[in-house]
Amino acid sequence: MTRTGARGTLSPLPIPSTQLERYRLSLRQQSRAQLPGAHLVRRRGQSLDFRELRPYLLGDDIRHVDWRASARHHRRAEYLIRTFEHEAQARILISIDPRGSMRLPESAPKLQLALWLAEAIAYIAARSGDSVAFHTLFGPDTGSVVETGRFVTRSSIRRVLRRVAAATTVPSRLSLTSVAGASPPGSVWLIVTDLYFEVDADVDRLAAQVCNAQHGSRWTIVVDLDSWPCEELLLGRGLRRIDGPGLGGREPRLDVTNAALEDVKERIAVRKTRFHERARAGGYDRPCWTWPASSKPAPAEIFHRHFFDDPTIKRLLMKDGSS
Amino acid sequence: MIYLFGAFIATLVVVYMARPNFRRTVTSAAIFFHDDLAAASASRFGWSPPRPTRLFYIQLAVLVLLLLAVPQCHVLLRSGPESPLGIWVIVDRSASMTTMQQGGTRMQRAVAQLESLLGKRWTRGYCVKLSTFDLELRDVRDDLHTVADVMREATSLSPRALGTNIALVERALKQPRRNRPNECRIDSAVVITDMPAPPWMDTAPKGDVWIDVSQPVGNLGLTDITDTRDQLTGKVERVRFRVEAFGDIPRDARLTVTWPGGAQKTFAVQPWVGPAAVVELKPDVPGTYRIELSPGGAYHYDDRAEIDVPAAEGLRVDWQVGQRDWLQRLGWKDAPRDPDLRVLPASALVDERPAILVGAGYAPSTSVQPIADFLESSALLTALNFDVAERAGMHAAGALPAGFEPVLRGRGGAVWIAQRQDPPAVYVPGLPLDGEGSVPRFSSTVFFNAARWILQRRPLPPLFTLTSPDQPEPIDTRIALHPAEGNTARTPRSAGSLDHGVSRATTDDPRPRAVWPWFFAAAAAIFVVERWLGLLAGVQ
Repeated sequence: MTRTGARGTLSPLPIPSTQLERYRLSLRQQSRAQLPGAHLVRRRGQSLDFRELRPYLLGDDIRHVDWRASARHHRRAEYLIRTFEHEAQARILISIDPRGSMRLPESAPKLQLALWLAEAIAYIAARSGDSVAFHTLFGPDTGSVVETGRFVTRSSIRRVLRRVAAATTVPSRLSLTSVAGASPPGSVWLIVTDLYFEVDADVDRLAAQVCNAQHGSRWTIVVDLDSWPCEELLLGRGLRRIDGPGLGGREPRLDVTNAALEDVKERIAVRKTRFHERARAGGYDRPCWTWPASSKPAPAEIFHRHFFDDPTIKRLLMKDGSS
Repeated sequence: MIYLFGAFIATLVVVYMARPNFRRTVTSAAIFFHDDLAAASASRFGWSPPRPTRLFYIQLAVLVLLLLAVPQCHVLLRSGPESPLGIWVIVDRSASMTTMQQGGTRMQRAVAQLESLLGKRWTRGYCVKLSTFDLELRDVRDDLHTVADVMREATSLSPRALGTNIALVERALKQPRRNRPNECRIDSAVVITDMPAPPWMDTAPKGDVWIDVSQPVGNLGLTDITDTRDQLTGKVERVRFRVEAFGDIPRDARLTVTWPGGAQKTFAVQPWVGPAAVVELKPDVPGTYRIELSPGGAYHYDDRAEIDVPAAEGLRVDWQVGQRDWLQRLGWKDAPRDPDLRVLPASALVDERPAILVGAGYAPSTSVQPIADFLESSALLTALNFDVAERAGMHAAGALPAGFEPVLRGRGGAVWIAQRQDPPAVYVPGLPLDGEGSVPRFSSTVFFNAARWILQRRPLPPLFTLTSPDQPEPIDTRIALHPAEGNTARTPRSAGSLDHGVSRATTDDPRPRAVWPWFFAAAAAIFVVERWLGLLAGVQ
């Protein structure tokens, strides 16, 4: 135990690959176009997937003329050519917040669930032919983004995630310089954090980056990890010497009462509201994963409940439907 | 002391309870606990009851152990300082410890063994009680606290011309060892001797050691001197010297006797029956005879002896019956005062002095007086012809004094011969009859059987005396022929080891042991564990 949170070994994702594959296939049978919300739009291009017929324009490849359809076309002088889907490689950038607050509570660290979410999404994306990159949200800019490429295995994903989990957060500085380069237009930026930033400036900077990403046609998802219900129960009531990340050596001694806890809860809400107010200008998804009010929460149970039921995650993993 | 310590503990408890107990809690939302919340609670002061946590019970255990230690400490202060652990060294200083082996005496070897034994194991706080034994067990010192002190006392010991009484050591070791405060607390006993360890040492308590310093060496020695005397006159007729060889039997063993006049005669010691031979001497004149045995061997106290053969003085008799000519005929002296024997009529009063009561005499006839019963084991019937007795015409005794028992009786309860054991007295039918024939011989046999039976208990001057604890020096006829001292060829056998010298509590004197240091140690250990658990749990 340290002031910055747990440094223990994080467990691998307790979901077998077969279950993830079944989940992926079930979602691939659905189209996200039928669901509200922001989503990735696939571009037209050359592939074997037929998209539409359109009138021939100068410069089109004569080999794509559909003579049979042109004969049935009501405009005799107009030829129709076949167009195909452009199967561009989708990109998902997963930013993980590795700060000390993410390593708590000890019984179910938020970083643990963040890594599990990253591993599951990376595995499903790789099975779907998309590329994934991991980004360390705090720390030095150099080396904050790690590519995984396509068709990766879970072991290779875990190897990369171990590097992310072990990344140093000193200096505790928001690292956003590499985000724009690692998430081209049309990509997805998935941020997993608890938003317990030490200073409001970091909140504002991240919110501004989210806005910019939206303007660059990027689908931004901020997974808000909220462990306060659990930690409130663990705190209890009475005389407490508070320890945790971000105190800078101070150890506030206080009498924890209901009023004090309400005050803390309000401050957390203010912090998150501040982010939301500044980031929603561009429109983004913010699913909230909430820890149960239990003194011994089960991390696997929390993950199962949110990963398989969260509509935003489902939408992210669905097939892009035709328009 | 106890009140002071109790007040100290109470103060600690008060301080502990009055002190706010802030439980350390780690939370990811720590940055949202601002100083304004802390300021609101910093001034809080109040009594907080101990929380029933694991740490609370551990701390309570520490307090209980401390409270238990306090009265224990008090008891120890009252009982005074603990006596040091001690060894009881019992050294054999009997005559056989003068036996020469390997160029030195066994006593010298015993002292060397003692020094080696103590030198290896001596630690601070030991003390030694030193005793010796031969025919008596004698304490020398019981407050020896250094090896040098022990060796100084042991070196000053010298063997005495006495025998060895192991039973004294056995009784001493088996007795509860009563220890007085500030004296040696006897935990181990070390017996150093030239005798093999007796069987009871195998079951002796651990810590008791028997060290046999002997090594088998050859020896030839006198082991016994017996004499044969005339019971009536006390004259020494023969003296037998028993000679025993321990180890090889020397072929040229001889006994040289120096007569009172200075004449010497040498006897060859033979024949040997096993390891023993007997030389018989007939001392023809009274006086002191000096006997020397050669070759002697490793032990010298049994190589020579002096005996004093007393002159045979006539028997002193108080003759109060008729026929006084018997005094001259027997060579007895008439001594009405201080007699060895009194001859009285049966009607005379019998006092505490030895006496023969003489009856009415014999009236031989051809008629038979059948014997009714007799005391078969009585020496008074030795060599008597019962057929003659039935025709001897013995008159029955009248009322005999108390203490007499019949030895020979006729029909109708007629007592013919009777005896009294203590003081010795005999009733006989009459004085010896003159003349030849079976009845006169019978009457003489009865009379002299009675005289011998009474006079055999007469104390005669011994030929020699043995040394004793009161007179341990062998001078003149006081010699040191104690049994088994000359047996120098025994196989040595030691028993026990000081390595097993664990503390042994005596049965009736259990020594109080200080328990409070263990309470303190346990409290300290639990306190360390409590602090460690507290550190892990984040509780101050």
